[in-house]
Amino acid sequence: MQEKVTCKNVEDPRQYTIEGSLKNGGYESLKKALSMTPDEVIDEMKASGIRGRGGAGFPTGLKWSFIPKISDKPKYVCCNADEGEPGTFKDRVIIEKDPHLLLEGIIIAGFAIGATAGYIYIRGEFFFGVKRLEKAIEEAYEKGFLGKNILGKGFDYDIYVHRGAGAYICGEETALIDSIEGKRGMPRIKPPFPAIAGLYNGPTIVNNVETLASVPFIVRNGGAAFGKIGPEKSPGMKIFNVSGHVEKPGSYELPMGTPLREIIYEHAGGIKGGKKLKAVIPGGASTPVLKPDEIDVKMDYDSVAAIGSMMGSGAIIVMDETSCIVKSILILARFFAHESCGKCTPCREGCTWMAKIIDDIEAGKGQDGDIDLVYDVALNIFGKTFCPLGDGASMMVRGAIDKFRDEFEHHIKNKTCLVAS
Amino acid sequence: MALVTLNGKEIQVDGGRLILDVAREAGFEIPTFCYHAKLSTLASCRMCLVEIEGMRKLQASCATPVMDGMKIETESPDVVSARASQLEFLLINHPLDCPVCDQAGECDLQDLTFKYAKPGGRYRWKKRTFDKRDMGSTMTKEINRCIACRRCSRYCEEVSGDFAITELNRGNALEMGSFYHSPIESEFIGNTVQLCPVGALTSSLFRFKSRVWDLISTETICPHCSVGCSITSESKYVSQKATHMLQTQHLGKTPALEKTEVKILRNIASDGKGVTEISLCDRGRYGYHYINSDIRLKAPMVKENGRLVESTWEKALSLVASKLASIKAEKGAESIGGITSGICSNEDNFIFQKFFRNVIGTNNIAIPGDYSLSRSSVLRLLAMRGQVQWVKTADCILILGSSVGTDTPIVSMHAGMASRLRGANLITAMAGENRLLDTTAQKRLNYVKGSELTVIGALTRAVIDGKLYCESFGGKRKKELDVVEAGLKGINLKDLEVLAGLAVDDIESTARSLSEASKGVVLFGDDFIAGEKSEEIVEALYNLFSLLGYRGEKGQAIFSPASGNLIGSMDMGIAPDYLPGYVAVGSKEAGKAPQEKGLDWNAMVPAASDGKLQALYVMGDDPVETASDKDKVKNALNKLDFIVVQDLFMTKTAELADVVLPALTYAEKSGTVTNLEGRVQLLDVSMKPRVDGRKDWQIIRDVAQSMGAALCFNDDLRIVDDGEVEVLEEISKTVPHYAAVTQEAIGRDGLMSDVSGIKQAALKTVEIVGHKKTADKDYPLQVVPGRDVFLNGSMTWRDEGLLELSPGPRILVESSDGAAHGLSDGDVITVETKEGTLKGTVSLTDRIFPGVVVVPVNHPELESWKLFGGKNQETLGRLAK
Ligand SMILES: Cc1cc2nc3c(=O)[nH]c(=O)nc-3n(C[C@H](O)[C@H](O)[C@H](O)COP(=O)(O)O)c2cc1C
Ligand code: SF4
Ligand code: SF4
Ligand code: FES
Repeated sequence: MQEKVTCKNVEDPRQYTIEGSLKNGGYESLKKALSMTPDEVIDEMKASGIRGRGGAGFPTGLKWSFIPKISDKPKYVCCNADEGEPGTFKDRVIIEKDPHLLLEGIIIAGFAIGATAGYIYIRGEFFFGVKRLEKAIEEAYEKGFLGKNILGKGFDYDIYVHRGAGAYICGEETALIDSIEGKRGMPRIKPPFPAIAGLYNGPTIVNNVETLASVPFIVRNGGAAFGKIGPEKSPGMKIFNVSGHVEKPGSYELPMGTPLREIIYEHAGGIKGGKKLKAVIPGGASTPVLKPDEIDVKMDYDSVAAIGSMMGSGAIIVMDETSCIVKSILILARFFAHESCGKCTPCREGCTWMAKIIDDIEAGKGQDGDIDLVYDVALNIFGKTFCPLGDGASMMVRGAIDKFRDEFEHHIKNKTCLVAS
Repeated sequence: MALVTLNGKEIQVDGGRLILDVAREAGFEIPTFCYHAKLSTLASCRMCLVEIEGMRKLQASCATPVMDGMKIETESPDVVSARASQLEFLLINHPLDCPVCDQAGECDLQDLTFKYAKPGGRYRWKKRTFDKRDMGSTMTKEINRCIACRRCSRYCEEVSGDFAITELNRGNALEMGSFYHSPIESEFIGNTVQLCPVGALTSSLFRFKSRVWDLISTETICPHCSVGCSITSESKYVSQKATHMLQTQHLGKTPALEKTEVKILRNIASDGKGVTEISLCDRGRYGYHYINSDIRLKAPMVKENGRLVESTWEKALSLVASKLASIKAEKGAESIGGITSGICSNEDNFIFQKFFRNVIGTNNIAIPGDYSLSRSSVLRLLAMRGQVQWVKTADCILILGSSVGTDTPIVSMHAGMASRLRGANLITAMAGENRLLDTTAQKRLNYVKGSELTVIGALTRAVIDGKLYCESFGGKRKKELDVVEAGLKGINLKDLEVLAGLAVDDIESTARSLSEASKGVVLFGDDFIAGEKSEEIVEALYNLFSLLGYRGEKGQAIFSPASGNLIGSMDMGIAPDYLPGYVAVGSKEAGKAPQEKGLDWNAMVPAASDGKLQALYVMGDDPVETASDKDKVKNALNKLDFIVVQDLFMTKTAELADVVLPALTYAEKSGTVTNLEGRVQLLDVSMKPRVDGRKDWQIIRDVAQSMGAALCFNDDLRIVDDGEVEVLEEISKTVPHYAAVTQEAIGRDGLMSDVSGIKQAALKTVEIVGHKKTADKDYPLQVVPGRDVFLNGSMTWRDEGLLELSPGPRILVESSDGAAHGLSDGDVITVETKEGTLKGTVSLTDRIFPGVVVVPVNHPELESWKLFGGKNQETLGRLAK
């Protein structure tokens, strides 16, 4: 079986301590990285072909190479640990079980781009994770992996933990930066991109926890070792979070390109109670839902995109035949209405409107034409918003109507749920 | 350059410019809401989306620069439908209460809906509503109309810097409001009303007064401080015909008289004119109510049996003429004095001094105030006329004194902006209140009131010791340096703590910052040069600025006084020792003007007391009210044989007068005023006179005529003429630096008068004996005079709007001092100094330093002058509950 990248040691109960981590080879990659040049580290990242695990799948090596070599402002690494996408719980596993792996990745990233500090922007509810991280940081300082003159190589670097206050939008990289700066978390205008003017206007990379936790593997084994796992265009190991109606919901680190069917039926043990599968959301709340006949898709960025959905963060939400699609979509529509930051017109007004229409449909108060209305509202949002949040809400709603229009129609016509009846 | 294709049309433009600007210039309309050229880019309303070939999504043209080869469509089906969608989104929650909305007629939402929206509504759900909130005295929030363009909050963050309005909550519940929904305290909040593209932020003072299309707009200049902002004054003829008709129908009565009266209903900033961008201060914006006031003087008054009674112009003028003539004949011209005000126009002041010099035959001409400067000092001030534009682009700014902030808020706002948005090094040195929020200034120095000269001495010392002066002073101008240094023997930097209460490091680093700046500016106002040492302070400032090279290229100094036309009055020769154009009295160039120097105001008061002065002519000033020692002034004036006052109101001085003549406001006359930069600007007539008054210069001319002297031209007495043009012609012939000034040349941007031809004398030694900070354990606090931003003189005290805005006569106590004394906002306390005591309401603030108590001196009813013993000096005090 393929060696795991980020979850290799998560089963080891002592892995979260510095001793446990060191026993399993923790910080060896850091030592190796510090004996390389920063450019060599970036080259390995490029060679690995790794694409960002936060959802957008942007090539990480390329992102790092955008950071200007010379800057009159300090440079920063921001680790995106906001993990806000409903259905996603992969970063939490790394943070709680192997915090040192993440720290090691953040330190190497800092070294590669010449940063002075790293910030971990963590979801506010992760109380336990914060505790583990803070303890781990303390240990890393004690061992000389953080602070002044790290490992005697003349590299100074600090890491801070910054807790979020419960806004999904703060997972968006520029809103995250504003939030760290103490401002209201709303997406910033791009350009300038964070690589040029990010945190405190210094050149900044923002990377997901899983992305950064993959760095030690890539440095230790070389980019090529990572790149040869899975499909060429989206290589590597990826954590898939399976939730919903399966026998064994959980977090599974598998090669990219593992078929969705295999993930659901082999790794997650199949549909709970042997019921029939009705729908799968493949990559988190904002990704359009798939029907059972589509689950042979390989789970990598390009393959999922090819069938009109997205792999997103790899959060697979499984719904069996007892689920009401209208109700499920209502929950998600309310989520987006609640989480819209309110900056731009279409998302601020449109997401709430969509939720109200779907609410009526679900409650049996829908009127003829409401399905077309909500579909049109979704279209009016799509492509016109300031950031991708509104687009996500739009795609989610339209995806559900495209695939399960009959359920919506049933709700309007019969004023009851198709499933219940 | 970039070649772009706009709707199929190829055009060459500068690369990097916004698509929005380029398209609009090329004649293509793109609707916008959130975009504002003077605010940061938000790109949130999504109204301006355009289609760019090769891009997956529509792009916000307000945030996307053009690039070579771009093909842009502004009217494609996708763009048209996107616009309609945004409007639909904005309207679903909008109350659609246009019939009762103040904004109707100038509402972007209404206009763009008319143009770009699809008909019909698809929204059947409950609309979002927000609770009513008290926003303070000038603003009424109709926030259900808000379209969340965030112009208001961006303004408060970027321009005013006071964060008065901000975003509350998020998403669909996003609401614009103040922190904790507390009433707003800001002297700039009116600007957000003007910036709001819909009727969400409305002016409580304008609300429901008029439909905007009924207003008559006039571009003119704000009279309320020396910045001279360009404003559009909007007035309306309020016809009473309609009500009379109703009465006729219902009561069968015929109205006796159809009366129309005109009122100014609002002022708005004339963006892009003169010194003005999007901001006015609220004093300027709302300070028009005094014009409409019913307590204005309506007709001439003459004293009969000890009481002033209404009279006619003819009677009043002939009385003034005969009385002045007889006093002149009996006691000589020197027994007559004339005072005017820094608020009168150049034409008013020019004619005033001409009357005094040519008809009366004396140089007894002055403007009363907190300082009195001789010609040589006034000449120095000519070197301190920097440009507002310079403040905006400076990299180091030093503000000396509190009055820059309280008296000329726009100047201090620009300083704050420079620091906030461009990282300029802003240093404030103040004894009292700091209107720039604490976060704005990089360094805040607190000197002891009365030690202003010492502060300048210390800065000069630091400049010399650190060799921070311009290179030439180390070489060929070394001698001049020595001249300056000779006066600084009393200043030893290490004693600074006990002198002005300042840390040596602070003074040294300030001197260094000023010297190292590539574009520095020092701002100071009335409070910094007030008192007995004014002459020395001005001279010492001149020395300091000369050494630093702050005379143009490298840096500028800007004197920013409170009075709207103080600079112009100086130019017009309102002084006992110089004529228009700063020609010295008694010099060869003085021609036929009286050869003897006259009395300044400080000399007129004792002269009145001991009978040397017999008559006083007062134009637009109220020394009895504004004097720091009121009783002395009042007693002196009571001794006079004859007093004439021309004013808008029955002032404290007018009450003592023998004849009172009603004048007209700036809104009722044209003419010119000169701002702190030396920019000559044009007043325009916003409304016909509300009273049977005359322009100040006309009254003087009429008095002269009654005395048988023609002052300039022989026009008909009663015609409300525009003789200003002729007076200005005479001014431009008389005053060399106004040679190019004509009304046409001034236009709406003003014309810089050129004082560069006026020679400065060599640097002089200013003997500076360090001020010694006093201490008294029974009086542990420094009591410092301050000023209410909204009330700065006679007109403002009678302005219903400004009285509404003013927090009232409040004693400012620093928060921690307040806590130590167990005080909370609104408590009544007594301030005691050795000179006197005063009771007042407390306001706790972080805008002053611990240990300082600020007592406003421009609230007449507070009688704060009693605390300071009539002097502008260090005053120790204590608080008692
Ligand atoms: C609304 C929204 C929410 C997001 N939330 C997260 C999140 O919780 N965690 C995350 O890693 N990325 C999130 N992202 C993606 C980030 O903007 C960014 O692309 C990512 O952190 C980059 O890291 P990566 O390149 O390592 O994936 C979000 C994006 C959007 C638009
Ligand atoms: S799409 Fe607009 S309102 Fe929605 S989260 Fe992004 S910026 Fe905020
Ligand atoms: S109150 Fe007016 S200016 Fe402020 S966000 Fe709303 S619409 Fe814009
Ligand atoms: S004007 Fe461009 S998005 Fe508002």
